[in-house]
Amino acid sequence: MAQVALKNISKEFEKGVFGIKDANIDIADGEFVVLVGPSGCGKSTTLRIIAGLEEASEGEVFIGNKMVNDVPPKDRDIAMVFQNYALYPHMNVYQNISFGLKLRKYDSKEIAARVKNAAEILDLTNLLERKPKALSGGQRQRVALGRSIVRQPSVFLFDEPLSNLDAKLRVQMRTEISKLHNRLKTTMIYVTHDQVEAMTLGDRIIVMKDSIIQQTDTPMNLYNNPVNKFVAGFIGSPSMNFIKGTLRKRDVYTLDDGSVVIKLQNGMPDSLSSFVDKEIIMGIRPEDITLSDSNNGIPLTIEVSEMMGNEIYLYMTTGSSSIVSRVPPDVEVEEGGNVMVDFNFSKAHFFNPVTEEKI
Amino acid sequence: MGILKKTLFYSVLFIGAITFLYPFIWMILATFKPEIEITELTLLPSEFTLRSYELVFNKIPIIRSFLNSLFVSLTATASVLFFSSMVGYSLSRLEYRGRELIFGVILLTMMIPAQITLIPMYILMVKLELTNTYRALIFPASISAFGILLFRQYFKSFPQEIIDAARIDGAGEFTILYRIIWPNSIPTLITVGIITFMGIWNDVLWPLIVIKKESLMTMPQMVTLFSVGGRAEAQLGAVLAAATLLAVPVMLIYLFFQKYFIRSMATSGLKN
Repeated sequence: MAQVALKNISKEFEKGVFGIKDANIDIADGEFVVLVGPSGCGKSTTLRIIAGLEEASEGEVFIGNKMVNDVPPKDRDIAMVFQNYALYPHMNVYQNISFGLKLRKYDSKEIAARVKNAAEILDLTNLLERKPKALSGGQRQRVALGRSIVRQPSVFLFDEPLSNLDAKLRVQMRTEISKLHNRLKTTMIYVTHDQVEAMTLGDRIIVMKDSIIQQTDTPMNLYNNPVNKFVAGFIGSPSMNFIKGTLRKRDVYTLDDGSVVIKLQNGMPDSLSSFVDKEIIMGIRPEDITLSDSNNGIPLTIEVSEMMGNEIYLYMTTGSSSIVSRVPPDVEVEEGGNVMVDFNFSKAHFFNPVTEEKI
Repeated sequence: MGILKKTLFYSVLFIGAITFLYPFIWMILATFKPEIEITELTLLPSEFTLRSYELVFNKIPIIRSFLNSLFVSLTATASVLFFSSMVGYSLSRLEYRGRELIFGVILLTMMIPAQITLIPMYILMVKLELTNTYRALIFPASISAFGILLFRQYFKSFPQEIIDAARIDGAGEFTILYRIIWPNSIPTLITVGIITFMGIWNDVLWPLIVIKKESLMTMPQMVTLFSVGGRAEAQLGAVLAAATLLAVPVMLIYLFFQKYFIRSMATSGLKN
């Protein structure tokens, strides 16, 4: 069991090319933290620095209050699961799982007991004699998990462990990992580019972009209070709608995107006042847009409607901005038709179009 | 492919195969002919005889030289596999200043003909008092630039994650190389092994220079001295018999491992 902390960590691959820039992360003991972001954002580099597979150019890494910058990976008391499983091809499942224990000179009874236990947890008991090439993707990833849990490390690191699996298996393994965390209560750090994995697994999520940490928070807070346009757009599916327009004020604020003038309701944040007659970006989630019964709504044209079974995604346009909304499956709409919609402005977010920071 | 094209295709292959095989078959069959028939064009002996072999075994310690060759070749090959893979691993997987320069220098040594370094090497052996020892045959051959090159190329394509996983599992560099990478590099090991073994087995010049004692001579050296030194009593059959004995082990090894050898040549540089 251990907490993990990164203090002012930077990794410069070559002059001016950063893997990660001035990162500060504090992870509590037993916490499940997910690093999420598009590919190339530095999340894997961060994980590899924690693992000791990569050296930080600057800053300090702490595992369990101990500065580990100069500690080799094997002595950091961590285990890691890789995207492509990274099983030893010439060893069978038993040997794969026990290799780390053997190198650490555990006695063979202890090894056998631990492997048996791990195999039971992961349902691998019947596969122990098989070589990796005779296993399916899901089984291989379970072996990789087994290899890390037998060591009983104080920190688990996952580097996109589910990316190579098909959609169904991914959901299944996701719950397995969740269960594993509930059972072991060990600190886990998980890297993924999939925001659904991030939302469902993480106690806290660290959103990264371009080598910089954008926001660190609980899934709910990230969803409800994104600090900038990137986080707002990255978390949530379908992603948040962004409408860029000019903010004006008469008796209430209005937003003119060039095609329609959207009348904002009373009680908008005071901070908007400095953007009057300037460009601004409004963000609103698909579920905060509903079809309107009255004629007071905002007129939109439906371009595509996608039936998901339990709901419909409506892809609409104002003429200048594209807007997606999720509506109940029973509404009847026509592609190409015009509809009136209401925005739930109390859930709207406003972003500075230059800095993309939340206003 | 049309029947005509196919016929032509196989005819060319057949002629090619015969061109390479004929002298060899002739040599082997000639060793079983009476001396008088050897210069005739017939392939099969009129009378089957082992006279030529008898002469070889009586005149020179051919078995001793065979064992010498085997010992020297196997030891040097094992050493090449051990050390060259170590260097290849370092050059492909470890990061340090000057790595590419070192690799460049190693490549450069491949371009220098062995004849140029022959005399300096000999002087070195004399100064180290190694002449007339097995060590004089083994030490200079105990690592090879070619082996390093081949291992480096293959190790470059080895998945990084497996190495990372081993490192986290607690493996040091030697464990990673010999317990993780080696078992997954069998074709490359066999290729380097065969090429090295053949090279050392067939070498005549170097043994001739550093070995004078008959009990330490390698087989090619012994056979060469036998053929040109007068002890074969100008018997062509005996010379050919000695040459056959020399060639057979290499051929057997090659036949045994050729499927790995070809596979490795075909896939070197390709991942999985």
